[in-house]
Amino acid sequence: MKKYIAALVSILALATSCDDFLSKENPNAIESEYFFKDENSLVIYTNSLTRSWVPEIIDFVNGDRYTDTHGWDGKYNFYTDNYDVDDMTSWSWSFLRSVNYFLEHMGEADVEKDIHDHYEGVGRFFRAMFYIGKVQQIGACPYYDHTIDPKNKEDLYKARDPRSYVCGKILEDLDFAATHCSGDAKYRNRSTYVNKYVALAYKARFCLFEGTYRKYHEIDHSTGKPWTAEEKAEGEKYLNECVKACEEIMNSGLYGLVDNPSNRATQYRDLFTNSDGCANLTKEFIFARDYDATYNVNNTKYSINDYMLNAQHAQYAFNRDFVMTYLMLDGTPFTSLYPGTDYYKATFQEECVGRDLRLAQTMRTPGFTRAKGTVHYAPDLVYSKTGYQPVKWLYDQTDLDEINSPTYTDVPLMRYAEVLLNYAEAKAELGACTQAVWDATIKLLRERAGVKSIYPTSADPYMVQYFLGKVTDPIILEVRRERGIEMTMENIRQQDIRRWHMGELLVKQKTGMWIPAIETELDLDGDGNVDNMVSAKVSEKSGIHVLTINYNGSTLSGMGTTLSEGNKGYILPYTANQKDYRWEEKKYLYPVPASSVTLNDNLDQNAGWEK
Amino acid sequence: MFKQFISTIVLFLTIGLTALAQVSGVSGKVVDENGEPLVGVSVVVKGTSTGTITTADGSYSLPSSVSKNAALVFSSIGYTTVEEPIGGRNIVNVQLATDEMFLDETVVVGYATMKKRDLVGAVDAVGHEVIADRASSNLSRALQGSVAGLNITFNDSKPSHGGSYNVRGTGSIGAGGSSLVLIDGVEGSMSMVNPQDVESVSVLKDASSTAVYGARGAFGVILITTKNAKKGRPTVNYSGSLVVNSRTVVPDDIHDSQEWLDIWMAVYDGYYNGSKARLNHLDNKAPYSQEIYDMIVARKSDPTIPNVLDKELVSGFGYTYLDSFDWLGAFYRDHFYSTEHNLSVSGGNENADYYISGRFYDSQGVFKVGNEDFKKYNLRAKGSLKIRPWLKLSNNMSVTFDRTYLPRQQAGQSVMRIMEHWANPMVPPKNPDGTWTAAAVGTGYASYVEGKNYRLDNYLYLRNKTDIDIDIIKDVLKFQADYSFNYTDRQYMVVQKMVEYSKSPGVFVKESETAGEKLQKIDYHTLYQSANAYATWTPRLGKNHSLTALLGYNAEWSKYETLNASRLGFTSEKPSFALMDGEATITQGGNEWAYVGAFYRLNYSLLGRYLIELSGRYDGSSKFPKYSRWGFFPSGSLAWRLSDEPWMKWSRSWLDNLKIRASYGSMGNGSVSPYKYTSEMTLSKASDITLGGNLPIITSVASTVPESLTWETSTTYDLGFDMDILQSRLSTTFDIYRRITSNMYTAGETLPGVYGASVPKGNNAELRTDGWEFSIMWRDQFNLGGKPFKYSVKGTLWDSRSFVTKFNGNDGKKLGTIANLIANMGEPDYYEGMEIGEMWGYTALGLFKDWDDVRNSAKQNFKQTVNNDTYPGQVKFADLDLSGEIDYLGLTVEEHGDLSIIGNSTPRYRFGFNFNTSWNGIGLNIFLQGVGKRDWYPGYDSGYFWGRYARPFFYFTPSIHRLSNPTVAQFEGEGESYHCTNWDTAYWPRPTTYQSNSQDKKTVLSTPNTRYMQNAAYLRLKNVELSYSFNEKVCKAIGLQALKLFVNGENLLTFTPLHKWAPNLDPEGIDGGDTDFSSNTLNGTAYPTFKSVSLGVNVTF
Repeated sequence: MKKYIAALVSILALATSCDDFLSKENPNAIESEYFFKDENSLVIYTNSLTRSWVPEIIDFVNGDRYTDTHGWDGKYNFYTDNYDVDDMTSWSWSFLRSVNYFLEHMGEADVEKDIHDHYEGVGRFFRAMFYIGKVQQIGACPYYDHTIDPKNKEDLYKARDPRSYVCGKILEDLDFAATHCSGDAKYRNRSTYVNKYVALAYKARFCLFEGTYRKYHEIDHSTGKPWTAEEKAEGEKYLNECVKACEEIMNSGLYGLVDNPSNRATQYRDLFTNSDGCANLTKEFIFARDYDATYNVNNTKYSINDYMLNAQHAQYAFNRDFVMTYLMLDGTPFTSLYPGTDYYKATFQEECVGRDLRLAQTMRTPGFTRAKGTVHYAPDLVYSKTGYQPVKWLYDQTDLDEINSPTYTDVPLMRYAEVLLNYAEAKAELGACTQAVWDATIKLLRERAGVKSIYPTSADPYMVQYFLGKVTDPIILEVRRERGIEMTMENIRQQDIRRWHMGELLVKQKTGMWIPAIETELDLDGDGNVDNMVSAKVSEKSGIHVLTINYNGSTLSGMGTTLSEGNKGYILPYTANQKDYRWEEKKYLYPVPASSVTLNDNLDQNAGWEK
Repeated sequence: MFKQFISTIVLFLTIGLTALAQVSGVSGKVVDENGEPLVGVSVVVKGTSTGTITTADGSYSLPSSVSKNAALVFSSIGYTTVEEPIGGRNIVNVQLATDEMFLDETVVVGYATMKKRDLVGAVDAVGHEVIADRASSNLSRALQGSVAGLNITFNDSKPSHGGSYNVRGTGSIGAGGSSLVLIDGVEGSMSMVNPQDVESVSVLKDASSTAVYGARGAFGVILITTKNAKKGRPTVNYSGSLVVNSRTVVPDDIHDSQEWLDIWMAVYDGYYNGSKARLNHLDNKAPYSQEIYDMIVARKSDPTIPNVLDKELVSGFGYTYLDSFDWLGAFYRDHFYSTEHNLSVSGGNENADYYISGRFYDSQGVFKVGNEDFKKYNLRAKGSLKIRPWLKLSNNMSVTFDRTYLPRQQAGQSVMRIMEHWANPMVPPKNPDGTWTAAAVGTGYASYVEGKNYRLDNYLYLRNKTDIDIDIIKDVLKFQADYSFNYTDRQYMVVQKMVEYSKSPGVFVKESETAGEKLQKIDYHTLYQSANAYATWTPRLGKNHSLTALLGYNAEWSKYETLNASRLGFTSEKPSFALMDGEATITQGGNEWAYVGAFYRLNYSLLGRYLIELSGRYDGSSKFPKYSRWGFFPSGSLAWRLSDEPWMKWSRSWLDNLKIRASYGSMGNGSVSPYKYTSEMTLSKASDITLGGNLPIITSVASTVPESLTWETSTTYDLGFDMDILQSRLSTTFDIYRRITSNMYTAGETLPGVYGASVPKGNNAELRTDGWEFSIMWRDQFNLGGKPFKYSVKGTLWDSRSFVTKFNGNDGKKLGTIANLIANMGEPDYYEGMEIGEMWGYTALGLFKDWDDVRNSAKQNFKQTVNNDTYPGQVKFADLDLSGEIDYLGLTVEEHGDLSIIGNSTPRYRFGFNFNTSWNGIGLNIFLQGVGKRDWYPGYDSGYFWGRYARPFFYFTPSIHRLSNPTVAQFEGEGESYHCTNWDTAYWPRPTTYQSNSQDKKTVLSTPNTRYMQNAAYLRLKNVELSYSFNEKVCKAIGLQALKLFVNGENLLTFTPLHKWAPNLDPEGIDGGDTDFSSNTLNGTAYPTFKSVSLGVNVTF
């Protein structure tokens, strides 16, 4: 009997209640319905949105690569005829889902109304940022203010909303953020949180974008049709909104240009090489990415110095046409020093005398040194393509030059200088850039660069020519000049060119510095030692950079860099000259990815991109 | 008739090896239990070398010289050996009894053991003899190739790495799921078992045999049974071996700097065609100029020129490097040692027994520097106690501890991978002032030498199982229950410190400084408990019926936790958080799951020849939501022993067993990760941004919940037959099967991108696997020099193919993106109708001969040079769709342009061949293993195959890429007359770089194509053992029970067509890199595969 009991007891002992035994909670995650409960949960969620949205330094600096101001050693396939709809793959909507999820659920948190509204503003700010990206990339797009249920066919297979509708929604979100987000010091801490002024600054940028886009473009590229009268008229509304937003920031008294007259030779570059700008430059930084040595938060790809220096990775070089736009210290154009168009024969040495102080803080000019003046750097003609080699983001310390050196440059994603430029431009486009407006904006920027401010009354012919003769308003031209110089390598040029309807500039011939003669040793940094040479024969020479060019078919394949006049002239860098580049109207927008159009019959393709 | 035929064969086999019988002396006849004469029986005069074998009529005769006082030993395969004293007789007739143990081997199956002849499912088993004496760090190494249908694959020979295994091919492309490994009935991993403890390994392959394991056994069950106590006086056994390991493949590369630079210039100029100047440095590692090149050439004939000049010839490089340094040689040893010691004690009596064993395994690593080290300790203690005649209690405890010390490159990169970028042969490890060079630091060499960077992995497996057996009614009803408690703990530590180098005197750079100096410790532990209770009922139903019923219950629970802490800022050399001052980060992870199941099995046999087995299991899993948590998985099988039919009586003398089996059954697979059905949000600390001056806490959008989440079902149909003939001299087994895995957990139909998340998964797809397995064995013995010479030959061959028969997530039958196609070496996204392993690629026609050839052929559309131009000597692809250019159109199954299926990467026709002999104490075992068919395409960036066709600065340049080699494209002429002279015979195209370095559609060699497709089939001499066992007399004389010496070789020879063009890759080491470190994706960068020779001794006291 005993053994039967033993068996029975054992069975009973094992037969526990199954469903309890089989219900397990994840010890390391929160069931989503319990997540939003207090202010902290709102902070955590919006921190995540900020982190997803802000770019890495390299992506930020790289933003200008394929614009008119740069000759980048690489081909941008989009500018060629090879690009077709299959090449468009960027179509991510996950960030919008994150934002909308937040906006749908944040109300579950038990917080005061003003706290709630602040964070709703932050959420809506990011939704606006998402849609700005989409509008700039593909124009009209389906608008969603909620997360999509995978079973909701109507949402999933929705048609595109018109550009004007989407832009209206963006403006609504930005207005909400600018009104409800707090601007208290707590939210301005280290310029890393979205606050009232961040919302206003981005609103201004967006409104200027859309306002000028409507003004300079005759058609809506999503439809291929001209704007309706209403849409066209909206342009002015956006410009006015831009003005209002800028004024609110300018009048807040919280921001200004970092400008100490005794530091004018260095302070501009310091904005981009300051490892603690978020603490030192709060006056000018409105929104920034904060890298930090204490927490070992640094550039995760190559070090920024490597990008500015290493021939293999850097390959940045400014375009000569752009370099010409830098003014003389007396406020006059450099090009006006020469009769007619003779300025194109100016040598590098000549170009570097008496110019806007930002020139020497943006690219290598004679006398450029690093490591507290101990190391001289002459431009390297072999790798900088045009000879104009950037230094704007280059740290002084040479021990940070290796690929994996940690650099902690805080990146100003939105700075006060741009607010001034946006304000001046919106005013100028509205025909209202008075001397007072000028003095409150461009004048300040020019003076910081040591340039005498002159309120423009006549168009600089060089600038007219730069903008293909299509713009003649002297103030608009000067504002654009200023914007180009002040903001170069800050990820804004591509959109500027597009909104100005100047796509042709993106594919134009890149040009480099003037070389008076080949086979002649050059001393570009003016230190008395030979540092460069352009040759049709020698390929290597100890201690100096020898740019081998193709002169009378001297290179193996008949290709290669040439000089504009054969054995002299300005450099026409081979790799930066993309002969198969061609601009077309349709390229103001990217195509909707072919796969998405196939999947959703209601999704139209952008005009010109239809298969 | 038949008998005579067979006898003739047997005679034929033994003729010439046997001393022919002489007239007169002792003679006689040997018969079996039924009086039938037995042929081939060995007859030996005991203690001498005199002997013979019986002829076809069972008779034998021995010469008159045989002493009439001696004894004769009669032995034959399949019969018990008989020792018969002659006792003065002239005629000695004997009858041999069938060896029941031999014919009726028992096999461990689920919750029971069974006689092999009663099996109705597909089960294969191997005994300890397969494993013994092989000094392997891991049991899986010894099992590879020995069981048909058990696929074991290795990536390398690192002692801490095991193989990956599956039974009968890919099981599921949804939830995944591999074979269930049970050690003495409890889930475990092969790496925790002491191979010398193993008594047998059973592999349960079809649904019928695995059904009692229900949801855990969907893709086969591997049952590992450890040795049991030997009753009697205590037996002490020691075995030990010393192993010498060396690489199977020693890379043959070019590290003469002149040649290395020549190739650099050729491929660089080949790509840019002069449109871009050569850089004045090599990937920032060493300066370069014509002057430097000339000095390198001069140094070859003038050794007084130093290898490093303290002179700045190129700006930024204060040192100029002129060496031709062999970095691979600096890193790798020619050979290294491992040792193994085992000690076991076993004994007992009727009421109690015990088995205690211990093992110590110690191995060095392959690197010359860095002190790589692997140690493993095993302890097992088993015992049982008969408390009452009907009550038995047993316990089985084991402890395994292993410790792996790995030197580490400062940023945790695999050195095999990172050498590609850093190991410039011009640069020696040290500068003249004794500082490290960039190459030494970047490759990790400096870090290995300094020893400050390392990784330490300590595993502890603690397992205890307590069993209780109750005989409720002796031999009729038995109840068994067991409870297991397993604890696995892994302590993982990484010490990361920076190493400095110098490119100019006095200027120091810390390599990988962005990674920071930190200490990381991760603790992983798993607590696992399981309980089984089952009753076995074997009623006595008379002679013609036999029934066994099993009814049981199983519950399992596992809790896994991880704690990951790291901190920056060392203030001391000691790796302790207590001595650090930087930012600390702690994260935690883990999960918990439980299974419950009730199972049954009924075995019924009628007349011993009609066998039926019905089994099933009802399973519940915590990984599924309540409404879909439970599943019932039944199976049934039938077997018919034809050989026992009365009408087969005529064959009885030679046919021992002929059985046909058929089974059908379904099993569940629930290998999804836990909590999938709950929408969750996580919290973590960001490490890449600061907000408000601090690292922010972040979360993620709530996870999406699957459309459906329940058991995947695998249904298996199996048809098999077993045959044993000639007293089991010849045995053969054949199985053919089909397995359908349905309801696989994969993403549902494609949703528009606006959804913003990955498509919710659900039970959406179906996979069909068809395969077969065949094994045949011949075993026999004959006399050689009067001693029985025993031998056996066993061959196994198996194959399977898997097809996706339903896939909801890919309605348009897209092959995916070209980038993924390249990354996966031609393997597309899943689509309905796809065969697992299929590879898509272009068809190559050869190399372009001249410009006319280029012009007259389809436009290639690749970046064969920087300007997308194609030159003579480059690869020409076929325009299969005659569109005028090489394209892939929509990249779908319907529209794929010039792509087509060009191969399949699944290893096919796997085989093992085992040859065993023993004679007079000398044993020789030979084991060959291999794969009959496998296509392999070298992955992009794999320098070990592509060399500089991948990147201009890659260190590794296979010698067969030498520019003068006639298999490399050669050229003549200039301009229009430029042409390839050996376009028809060369294999390697025009030296041009960036041809295989990325996933870009324009990268010509990265996209799989027929020309560079490799045949990775191989035949490998996996193991050879030569042993000598001293005979009893000698052993007794020195006070031992047994003594054996052996020499054992692993992987000694390899035959593979792969080596024609990929001589630097081992066919078992082609996939990926060293999984212990990051950047592990490149083919050939795996830790090496070794061949080993061991010398060992096995002593029993």
